[in-house]
Amino acid sequence: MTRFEELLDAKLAGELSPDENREFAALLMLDENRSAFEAHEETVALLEGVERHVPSSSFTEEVLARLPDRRSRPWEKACDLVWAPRTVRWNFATAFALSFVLVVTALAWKTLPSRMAVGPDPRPVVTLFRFSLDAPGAQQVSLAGEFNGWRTDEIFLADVTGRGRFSVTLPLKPGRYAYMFVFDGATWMTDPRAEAYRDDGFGNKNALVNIAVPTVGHGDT
Amino acid sequence: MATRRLVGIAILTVTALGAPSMSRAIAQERSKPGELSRTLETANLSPEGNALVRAKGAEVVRAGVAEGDVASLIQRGLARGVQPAELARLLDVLAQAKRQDLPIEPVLDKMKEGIAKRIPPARIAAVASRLSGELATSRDLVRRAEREGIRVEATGERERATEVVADALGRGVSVKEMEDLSRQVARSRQAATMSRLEAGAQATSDLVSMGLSPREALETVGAALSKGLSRRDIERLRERLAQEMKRGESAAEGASRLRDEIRAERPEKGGKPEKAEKPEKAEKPEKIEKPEKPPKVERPGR
Repeated sequence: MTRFEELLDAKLAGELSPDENREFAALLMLDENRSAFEAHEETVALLEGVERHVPSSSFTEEVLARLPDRRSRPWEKACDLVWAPRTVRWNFATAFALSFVLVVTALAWKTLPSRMAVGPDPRPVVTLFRFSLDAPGAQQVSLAGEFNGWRTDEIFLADVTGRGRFSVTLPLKPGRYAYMFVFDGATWMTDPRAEAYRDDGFGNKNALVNIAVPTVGHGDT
Repeated sequence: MATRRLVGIAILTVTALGAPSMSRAIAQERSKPGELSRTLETANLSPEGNALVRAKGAEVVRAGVAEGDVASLIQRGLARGVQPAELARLLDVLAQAKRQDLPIEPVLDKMKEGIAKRIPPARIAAVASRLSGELATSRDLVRRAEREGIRVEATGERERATEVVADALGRGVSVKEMEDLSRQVARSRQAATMSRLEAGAQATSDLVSMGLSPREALETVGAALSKGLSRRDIERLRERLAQEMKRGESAAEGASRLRDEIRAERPEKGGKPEKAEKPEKAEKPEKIEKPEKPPKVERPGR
């Protein structure tokens, strides 16, 4: 910085002493110094005529946001993304819209069925199992159990030989099922050839059939 | 301007997507005709009876039971001549079980069974209540088992184990005996899984159903667990006992021989984790030949 530039800065700041003022006046005699000084004077006059605006409260953040990102490591960018303070602008329309979205989402969630499949059934394979019973004289034999909600009018055994040997084959998923036979829609009977039994709590004995996990199999009572 | 446009688009999109769900939710809230209502509309009930069953049904649905299940139970009950007050009692038991966060399927199934067998509703309610109690005890046992280190490895294992342990409790296995079983499973470290506890409890129930006392059944299952047998082998204890009994032995004698066989088998090192086991061939289920007897006609207890 030259001596004239130093004095010019001080002059513009109004900080020249009387001796410095005389020195500045002497240096102004030079054409280049005088041109520089006149340019400064014009700039000052121009700025004095310009309307001043008060910057907004978020001026600093907006300016910083427009600055080009300095090259930073990915993890630094991720940290900044999460932790950098941000100015959130809102108005009632935005707030209302967000509240509306939240309310609709909550109500829509509530209407989802209470029994949603949590995951794929790990045991989807079925096994064919034949239930049979010797019941000469019976007009109709049905099967009721845990596999059909104990409905007595759904699964009927057929007497294919006509000699009272009733049977039906059901596809069953792996598991354990309690069941009984029902004669003519009214009389309940325990399968005498079941592999296991369990008291039903009502004074009767349910037969049990166990269907193991293997893929395909056939079984008989 | 752009912000306002975006807000407007967002509102329209959400309204279009959410309106059907919202209207359905509002419909449910106002109890507009659903399965429950349709069931009661077709039922031939007095106004008081209809109101009672409707109120109880709605209460059960609010507790979290699926409306279809509630409607089905009501429909079956009414078809079998169950009175509204009796039906209300059954629905109370169901609601209580659901509020305790118990598996609801076994309770519902027991009610359906009782209705189908024309059991007096009061007895159905008593049996279902007892079952709920067993499920509650079982759930506590299963939770303790988890705290002791038994791992849940797949969805639904905890619930299945709860049902199976409840079944064992219903067959006379005591809580202490079931806790002993649980601790034995927990001690096997790598093999300390909920599916293994389920298999152990199921095998115990199976052996009891074949005539063993709960103590004997647990000793047999315990021998298998100590030996580090796989879940599959534990599930097959029932078949092995049946084979022993085919030789003419009693269940107790067969179980004693079975325990000796297990103890003499080569041990599985350190309780292999289930996933490390090789897949086994499928076997045909045993055909149990029983002498032909004339069918015994039994009537459900009344």
